[in-house]
Amino acid sequence: MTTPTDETLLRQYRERKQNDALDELVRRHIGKVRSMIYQMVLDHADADDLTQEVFCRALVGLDEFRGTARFSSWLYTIAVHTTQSFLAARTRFRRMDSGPLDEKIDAGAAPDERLLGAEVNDAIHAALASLSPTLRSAIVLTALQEMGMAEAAAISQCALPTFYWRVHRARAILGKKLGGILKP
Amino acid sequence: MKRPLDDVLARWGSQQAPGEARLDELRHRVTDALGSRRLVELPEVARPRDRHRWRWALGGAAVAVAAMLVLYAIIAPSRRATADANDNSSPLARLSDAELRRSAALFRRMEEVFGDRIRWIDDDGGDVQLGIASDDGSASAPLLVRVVVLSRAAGSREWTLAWKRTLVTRCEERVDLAFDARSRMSIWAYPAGDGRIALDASLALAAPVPISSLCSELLNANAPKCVLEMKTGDVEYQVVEIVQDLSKKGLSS
Repeated sequence: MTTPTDETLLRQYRERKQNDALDELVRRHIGKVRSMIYQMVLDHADADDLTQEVFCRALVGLDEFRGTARFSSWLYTIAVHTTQSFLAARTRFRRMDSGPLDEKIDAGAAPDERLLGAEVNDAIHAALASLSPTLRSAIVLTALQEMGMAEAAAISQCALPTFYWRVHRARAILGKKLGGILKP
Repeated sequence: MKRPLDDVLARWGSQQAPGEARLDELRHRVTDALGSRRLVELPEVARPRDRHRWRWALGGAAVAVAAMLVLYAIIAPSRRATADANDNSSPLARLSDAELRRSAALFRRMEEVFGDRIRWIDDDGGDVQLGIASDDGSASAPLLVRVVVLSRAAGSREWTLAWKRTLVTRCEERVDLAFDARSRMSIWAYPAGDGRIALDASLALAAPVPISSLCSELLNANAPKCVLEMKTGDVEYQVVEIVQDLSKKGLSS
């Protein structure tokens, strides 16, 4: 039996109100949406809240989704803009969460023999936090979520040359701040 | 083969990913939240009419209108003007020589006191707010950024100033300002090297009109640029941005 596409599930939910179809869509995308949001807000509690908000907005706005784009792109567009709005509204003196690393990683997280040390982790966290929200989302979408430039620019609703420039600036800033870590 | 930066970011990303248990918990939380929204989609049952329904309806309509205005401002790129604001709105946004000299002098004075720790100055709204870092930063050039909201009645040619914010910031310094619970502005500016200045600006205002704009622009020095046009009722609004490098000759001394 073939696995239904996102668009098929969406049609099942919209036309027949099959809640199972919606649950399956959430299951498929929650990991990526949540990791994308975390990498932009750098705070686990905020990332959980925003993930919930993004899925709720996506559901409320289902009628606006015409199906001309992929459902995943539409969902990620909502995630990027919801997160950027949140970051813009965050009080100016609030510091990014940089709590102890062991609080951030679940025991169930996949082991990685190339685990970064706590200092390196904190340095990456701080370097990402120093970027403006638009630069941070540009590097998150391309380097961390491994999207192509055109797709990432479309999700950011940004012209491709501007998006290239953002990625270039973000890489230059991160390269400068993480220079010591990146040296072989 | 991945470049070193991509590799180290990918490893960081995978380490920050939540485990299955946490993700499962979040999935249940999301589906529960969606479940409460689904109730809205059930066939309506007859409810007693009472005055509270009107209150809800009016409240809902107000929220819907506000949401539409905000969405309209965000997603209507066709309405976004990209040309310099060279009509009669320009004089209201343009920076006079006296203003530029005053801002440059103010930043110099603050620099004498705080050194490189002074990161930005918000010079509007009656009193001056300072952004001071806890330790020395880079001594990058000061840039003046002004964001204004102009309004005019439909059919009128004259624009009036509805809202204005002027601040001096160092290049590549992210500035977040909160004016009240619902009105905020974030900016990040950087000289592009060809005389123009790249400006990322996010503006959310509750008054004089609900506006939410997120713009990334390359601006010529002291050339007002309209980045957003919108109309609500009989009133038209423009959001105009203007920037100037204060380290330029004639302003820095």
